[in-house]
Amino acid sequence: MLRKCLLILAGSLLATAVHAHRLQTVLTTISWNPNTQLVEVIHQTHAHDVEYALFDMLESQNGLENIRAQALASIELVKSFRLWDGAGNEISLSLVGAELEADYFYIYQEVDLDEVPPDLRIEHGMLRNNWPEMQNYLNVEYADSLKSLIFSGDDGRKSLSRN
Amino acid sequence: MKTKMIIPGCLALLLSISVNGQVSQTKGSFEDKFRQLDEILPTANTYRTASGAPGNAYWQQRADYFIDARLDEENQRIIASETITYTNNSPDILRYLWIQLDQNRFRNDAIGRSTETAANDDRLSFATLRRERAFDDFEGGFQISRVQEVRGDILNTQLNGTMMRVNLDEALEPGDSVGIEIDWEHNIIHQSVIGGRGGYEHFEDSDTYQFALSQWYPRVASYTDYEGWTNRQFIGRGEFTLEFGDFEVHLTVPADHIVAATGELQNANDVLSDEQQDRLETAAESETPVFIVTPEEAMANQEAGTDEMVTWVFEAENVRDFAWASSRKYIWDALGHQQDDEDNPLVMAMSFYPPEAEPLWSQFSTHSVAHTMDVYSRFSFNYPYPTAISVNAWEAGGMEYPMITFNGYRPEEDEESGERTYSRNTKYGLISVIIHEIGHIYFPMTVNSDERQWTWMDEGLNTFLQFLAEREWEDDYPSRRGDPANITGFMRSENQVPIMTNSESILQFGNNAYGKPATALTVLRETVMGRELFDFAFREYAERWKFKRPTPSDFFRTMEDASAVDLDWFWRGWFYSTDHVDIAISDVREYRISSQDPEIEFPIEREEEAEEPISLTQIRNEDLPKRVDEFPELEDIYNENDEFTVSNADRNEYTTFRDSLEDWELELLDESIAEGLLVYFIDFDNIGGLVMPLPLRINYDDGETQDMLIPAEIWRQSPQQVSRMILSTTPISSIELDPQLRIADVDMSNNRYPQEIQRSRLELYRSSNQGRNLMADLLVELQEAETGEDAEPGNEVPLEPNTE
Repeated sequence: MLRKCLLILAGSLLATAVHAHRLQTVLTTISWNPNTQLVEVIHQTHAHDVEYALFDMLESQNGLENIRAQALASIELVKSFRLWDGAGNEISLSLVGAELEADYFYIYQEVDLDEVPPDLRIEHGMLRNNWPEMQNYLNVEYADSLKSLIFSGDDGRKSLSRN
Repeated sequence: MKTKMIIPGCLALLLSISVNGQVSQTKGSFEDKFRQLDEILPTANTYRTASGAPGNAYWQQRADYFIDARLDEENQRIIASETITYTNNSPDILRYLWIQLDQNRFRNDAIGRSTETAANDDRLSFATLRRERAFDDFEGGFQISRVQEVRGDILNTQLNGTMMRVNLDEALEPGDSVGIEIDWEHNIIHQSVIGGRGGYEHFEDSDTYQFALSQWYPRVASYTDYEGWTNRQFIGRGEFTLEFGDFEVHLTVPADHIVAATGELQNANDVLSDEQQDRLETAAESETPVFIVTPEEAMANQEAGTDEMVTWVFEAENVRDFAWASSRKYIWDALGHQQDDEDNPLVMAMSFYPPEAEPLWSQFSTHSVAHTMDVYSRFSFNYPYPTAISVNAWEAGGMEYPMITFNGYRPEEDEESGERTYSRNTKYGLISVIIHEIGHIYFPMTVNSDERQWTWMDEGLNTFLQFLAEREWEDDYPSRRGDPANITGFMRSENQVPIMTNSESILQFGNNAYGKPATALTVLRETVMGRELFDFAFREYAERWKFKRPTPSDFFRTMEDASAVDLDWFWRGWFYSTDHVDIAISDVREYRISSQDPEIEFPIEREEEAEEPISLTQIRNEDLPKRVDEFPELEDIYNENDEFTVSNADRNEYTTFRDSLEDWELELLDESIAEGLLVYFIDFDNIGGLVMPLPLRINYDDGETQDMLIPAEIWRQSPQQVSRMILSTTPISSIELDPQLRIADVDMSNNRYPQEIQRSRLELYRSSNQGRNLMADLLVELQEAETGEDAEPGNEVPLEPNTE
């Protein structure tokens, strides 16, 4: 049965660009750290991509060079990364910090769990509205295996299971 | 040298058998990681030799173009005609030609357009909606009004998506040429909305345009010895396969435009002022950029406007494509790049950019162009053309054509002050993209690999050279790709395909076609082959295939042919598989050599046993009464002498042992004992599957350190687990595998013996004081300030079920 849908436009439109050789990506890794007994989430982004996408809100003429800009950027970016467990409960990640290293801007999150949940739903929209061809990659490290997802186009939530 | 290396004893060798012409392992689980690639690579022939060089009968077609084009700025449209002179150098008779019509990619019925997939859960971004709406209002694709043989009839054509077959009235014999005239028009895409490798950019503040035009004319598809017509549809990712030829191009544009293009300007007197021509002559002698059009002149020019048109004429020899850019906004600077080359002793390195690109571009662009030629020419061949151009197209640009490249990165403008500044990341991003795109003029614009089939052959090789050039720009250059440590996240991921995958089917495009092959070549150069062997072989490949069309096997074969290094295992692992590198030191055992003399050995063994920990039970039972204490008659010789007491039988056995040895064995034994030789057995587990050399660092008790490199061939008969023996006169305190991060090992937690607790990146961040506390405070402050705001992802079009 065909469902009819109502489209409501809202929000602001950011500049979009498609290109041949400048390939924007975010690589996110989720893993359980036995040293700290915490689940860690590490996002690796390209610093200039973040600066370009968020320039107006960074309050910095030097992009991510200062810590306030890094904090603003990380708060904004993690809004579009969300996790739910197998029962559909959202996992509340705390934002630990962020740092620049060479061309990369790293954002750190963590949550107090005994393991990486065996079933996850993930939403990974970081920067994807800025570049239609952008792809975000996710690696989830379990004790005995690694599972991966790719988010591209207008992809929304995706599921992942350890088994 | 402190250690001697000995390969341990024989391991079972399982033989492969041949069944029905296919080699397969039908017993056991042995996988031959070193199996030669002959069964996979195409059979060598007179066109392409087994050494990886062009064969004695190598041929390639030729396509020369005369193009006359007019830019309709007001309507963003091209109106043009061309004459293609096509020469059949193949041994085959051709009854038709295929013409590439890449603009047809922007038609709504194009394969790429009609196979775009929707999001996985009914979402729609503003960017997608904007693009969809733009397609509704845009008539894309070539509108071809005439295809005719020179001095002949209108030719029959058949359109198929982005390809057009032109049926020849008379078959084209080997060695013959045919001239074909084509008239066409097409609308130019708004690049930032539609997305593509060319198009126009509109500057709203000044209501001005710049045009960067690529894939803008009907181009002859390639006809090759390995595929025939390379006429796969252009879907959008796999780029271009083209023939070399000479171009004469007349470009009629508004009279106040400055034009940058493939080739050399032929009518400077008609289109440039005397002063601009004088400045060009000055620039040719300058090592630093000289303005041909100054920023002030560009600002004045973009405000003036004109209804007049003028024609710029360019000629280019032996190029595979032609692109150009045109705008009244351009600032233009240039310098003369000198090189020891008979054909092109002077190369004009030039940049064209709008005022919005300042103050960044005048400082870095043209220097980046010259630097690229300095480095790339050393690793391949002299820059093969008279000009090298960087144009600041749209912000996210990055695209290459012969002699001309379109590059992004601009400063940001502060809304209040109007001041333009740039960040460190913008600066290095600009330098990197220019190095990359100018580098493409070597690969694939000159080494003419088949981009539509194999993206890695130009992107991977070029990204590798880009990495080398970045390292020569300044120390600690923030390179994005090329360093082995940067590829591990991708290498371990599940969703990936081998490098040897057609362009349109690649997953994780950037990592697969750029990062992984660039890293592979870095590993080859720094760890597997060594710089001297690698550099010679790589240069040989470049020289062999300069202005020719190589395939992957030509690259693989040349690298081996010129170095005497068997690399089939490397190509097989890195290019034909999705294995990753995860090698673990699973165990280390230390031995000393025994003299067998009971008078020496037994006291040592007694001492060693005494040093062993006492069990908890024994400690707690110490005060319990023992029966032998109550009844002393129960004690005998074994209570008076421990197990390490030397007996005559022991002495006799020792004498017998020494008598049984040959003289040389006896001498070797006594020497080893005298030196205090220690024997270490190290076990390595190959968890990731990819066989690699083993870079080891041995740390000794006396504080000394020794690095050694065990070649990958150690895995040839046992690819999952191997052991090595190390002899040393000094005790070893620890062993590290790959301490310099040379082999892209994805898990460093198992690379050390004794094992050390590995700290995660987040833990390391926590332990560093630099700015961490300030960041924590800021996060609290800023997040509290946001309380109450919607945390949902923004910039998504809200969709609700329509219940009407």
